[in-house]
Formats: sequence, structure tokens, C-alpha cells
Amino acid sequence: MTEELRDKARKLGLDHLTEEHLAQFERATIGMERHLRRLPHGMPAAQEPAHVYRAKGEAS
Amino acid sequence: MSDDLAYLGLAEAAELISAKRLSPVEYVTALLARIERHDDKYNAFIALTPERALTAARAAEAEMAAGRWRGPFHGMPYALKDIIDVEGLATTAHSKILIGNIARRHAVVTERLEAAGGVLLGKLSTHEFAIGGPSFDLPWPPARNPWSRDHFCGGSSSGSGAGLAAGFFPAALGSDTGGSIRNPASMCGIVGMKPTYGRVSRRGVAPLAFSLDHVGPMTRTVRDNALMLQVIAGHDPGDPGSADEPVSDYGAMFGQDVKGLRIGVIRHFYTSDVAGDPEQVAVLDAAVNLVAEAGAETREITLPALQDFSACGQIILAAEAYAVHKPWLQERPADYGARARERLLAGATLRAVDYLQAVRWRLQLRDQVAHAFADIDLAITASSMDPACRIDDDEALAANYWRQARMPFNVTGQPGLVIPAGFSKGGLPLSLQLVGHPFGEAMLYRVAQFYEDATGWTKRHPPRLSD
Repeated sequence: MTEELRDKARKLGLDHLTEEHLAQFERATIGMERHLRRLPHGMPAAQEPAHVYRAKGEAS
Repeated sequence: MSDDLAYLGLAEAAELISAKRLSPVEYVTALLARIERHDDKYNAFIALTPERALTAARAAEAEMAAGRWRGPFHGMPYALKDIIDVEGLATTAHSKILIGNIARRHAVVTERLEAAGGVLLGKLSTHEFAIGGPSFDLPWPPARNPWSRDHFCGGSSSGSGAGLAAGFFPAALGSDTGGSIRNPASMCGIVGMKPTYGRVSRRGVAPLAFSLDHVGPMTRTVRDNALMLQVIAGHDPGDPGSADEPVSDYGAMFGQDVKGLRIGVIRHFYTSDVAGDPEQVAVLDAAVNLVAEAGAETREITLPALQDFSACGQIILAAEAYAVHKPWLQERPADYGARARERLLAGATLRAVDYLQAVRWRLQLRDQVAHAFADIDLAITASSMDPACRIDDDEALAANYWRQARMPFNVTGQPGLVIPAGFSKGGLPLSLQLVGHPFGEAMLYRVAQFYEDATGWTKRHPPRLSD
């Protein structure tokens, strides 16, 4: 296990991860990087995110 | 008990009860006995609640005898995935983390099922926190597939799928964040609906990823599925994602054929984006031919690649799930099973900008899909690319999470209905998925019931459970 990975976990507050957990953390991070590489580049600046938030309607 | 009673549907049972040929107490007693006899092999239940069930069945029977019939769900046995709150019972999410987590009030869906006169049999197995399974390192064993105990029963609503296929109950609720209703529906040969995002309240349901979570009905027949959705659907002002849209009559189009319907076929999902198992592809092609021969206008439509939906959905899921689980992952990581822990840790290093880019991408994907759906009534595609793999095959289990076409409709929020579509040479269920316009569940039920009647696949049950 690399010291770099252990440091990264520590900085994230994941101090209680065992060696086995750190190996899982590493695999999970690598898997996520694969997804991140597919994020599109050059999205229009005004492209909005999907919102769940809705302002409440006018008070009745 | 005969298999006729074990595999009775909600609609059939309601008719028998209303004709006084079956009593709710008799029905519930028979199902409880079957569960006691067989569930040690299938682990569908985390907690069976027989006393509570019999009390509710007696109350239903007394009410009906007094002439107070609440509707077709009155006296009907059902079970809940154990991420859904029931006042006074533990909601464990199948995790050591939540042992002893007694719910103080019902989830909104529980309230609705209870108000309709439903009879809760108990709480069901799930993949831990509805993510990452099957797991053998949790306080309870994983659910097993009644079609073959050695094979995966899907997840995360694993107990719901297994218990329905085993004839333990006619209806259950599951949840679906990246396919968790539709995956066990595919693996167990049952019917699973992920309704439109916001159609069913999630208040009182343990969250996995707020903007992707859906609650929906799982049953053995299409008609039963519509009946259960009718009970649970509706606006909940206490759920920020809930939609204030009128609830359709989900059975309104039953009995209509498919003549003249415009059905898109999203074939690239299971032929080029991912190469589906030939047996699975063959049943999808056969289903398309069937509806075309019945007068539907079918044509292929093209959506963005499956891998784009998967990446977008997984980034959002990981970020939102980490927001929920961060305190426990920091303080009690050893109390998770290995599979859930690994999947949840995927969100630890995500940056705010990555999440935001994914939710911006999500709107683009949604708009592209809406454009492709503009002149069709619904679409047909795969749910799973393969029949169930062995439960001890780690590589195939990992592939199960990307060899599927379910996440696209968590990303877009459209309804997706999975129904049985045949069997592999090995005797395992195959399936298809119908996808509709937002709030177009009634149209999915119409086509699904037509297909169900034409093929009869939902009448097949696992053979070795006869008793």
C-alpha cells in the first residue's frame, strides 16, 4: 500500500481504514476515475445542472 | 398449501376474498406457513412479523364482514425491503451499522399501504444500504434465487425478488437507484416497476442517492403491479423530489391491444454498446416481432451510449451516497460489508466540480433522450444483458453492474418496467424493459399486459418449491 494513498485517506478523515479497506479505497478510486474520464468537455457555459431544489410557491 | 394459493396474484385474491371464497386470515396463515417452511433456503426475510400480520388480517376480515371494504388491497399480504420504515420495527438496511434502528413512524409508502388495508408480513433482505451485494459478511445472509439457489437473485431489492418468485407474498416494495428494482425482477422472473422520479414518496426510506432514488412495486403480474402502484403513487409535500402531478388510473388501458402504437427499440444498448447474451438478445428480438405483428409500428431509436449514462449516473450516485455515509465510513468502516464499503468509498475523492459537471451532463442526456422519444409512445430495450450468474462468481457479479440498461432511466427519471420474457437453456429467467415518457406508467402497463397475455411467461414459477 502506498504512503500516498494512506495520506490521501487520512486527509479525507478516513483514519480507521485497515490495509484491506485501503485496497478497496484504491480500487474504488480507480474505478471512479474511469467514469470521470467520460465527462464531456466544452459544455456551454450556460448549461445548467439538474436541480432538485424548487423555490416554494407564493404564500397563500 | 397448493401452489395455486402460493402464487395467487393480488387481483385474483381480491376477487376470491370479495366472493368470500378466501379469507384474509386463511391466506396470510398459508403464506406464513410457506415462509416458515422454505425461507431458510432463500433468506428473503430479515424479519418476519407473523403476530402483527395475523392481527392485521383478522382486522381486515372483521372490517369486511362489517361491510367496510377499503379497496382491492384490503387484506392483501405484502412485504417491504428493509430500508423502508415501519413504526416500531427496526430498519436495518441489512447492515450492522443500523442494527437496533427502530423506526418512530411509518414511511409514507407504508402509511399508504396500511391505509389501503394491506397486511405486512415482514421486512426483506437487501444489498447492504441498497448498494453492493450479494454479501456473505453481514449479520444476515444474502437472499437466494428460487430458480436456482446457486445463482444470483439480483439486487439490491433481493429479498423482494426472491420472495415473490418463491411464492411467499404477492407484492413487495423495492427501491431503485441504478436498477435495484429491475435487476431482481430480471433475475427472478417477476415484474418490477421503477416509476417516474417523484411519482412515489421516498420519505421514511433510507436514502442512497437523493436525485436517483425511486421506490416502486414488485409483483408477479402486470395487473398486480399497477394495482400496487395505484396505492402508493401520489404527491408528498414532505419529499423535496416529489412531483405534484395527478395520479393516472394505471389500469385504464388494460385490455387494449398495441395496434397503432409507436414503439421505439433501443437496440444499440444490447447489441453494440454492450453485446448481450445471445439468448437474451433473441427474446428481445422476438418481443419486438410480436408487437409488430400485432400492429405496433416499431423502429430503432438511438440514444447516447450506455456507457455515458453509466458514467454520469455512477458519479452522481457516488457523490450523493458519500454525503450520506461519510460519518460512518470515517468512524465505523469495519461495520460495513466489503462490497458496500468499496462502492461507497468511490465517492470519497470526488470533487465538487466533478459532481456539478455530471449533473450538468445529466440535463443534456435527459434532453437527448426526450428528443428521441418525441414521436414514440414508449420504447423497448434490455434490462439485464445476461441471465443470472452464479452467486460465487465474483467476476460475473462485478460485470452485472455494467452489463445492464437500467441506469439510463435513473439518470433521466423516466419510468422503466421489467417483465419476464422467457428462459435460458439453463432454466433461468430472461427479461425485457419497457420505458415510457415521464408519468407514462399506464402506457407501459398496457403494453406489458398485452405481452404478458400473449406469452404467458408470468405464469411460470420455480419448479422445486412445489409442496
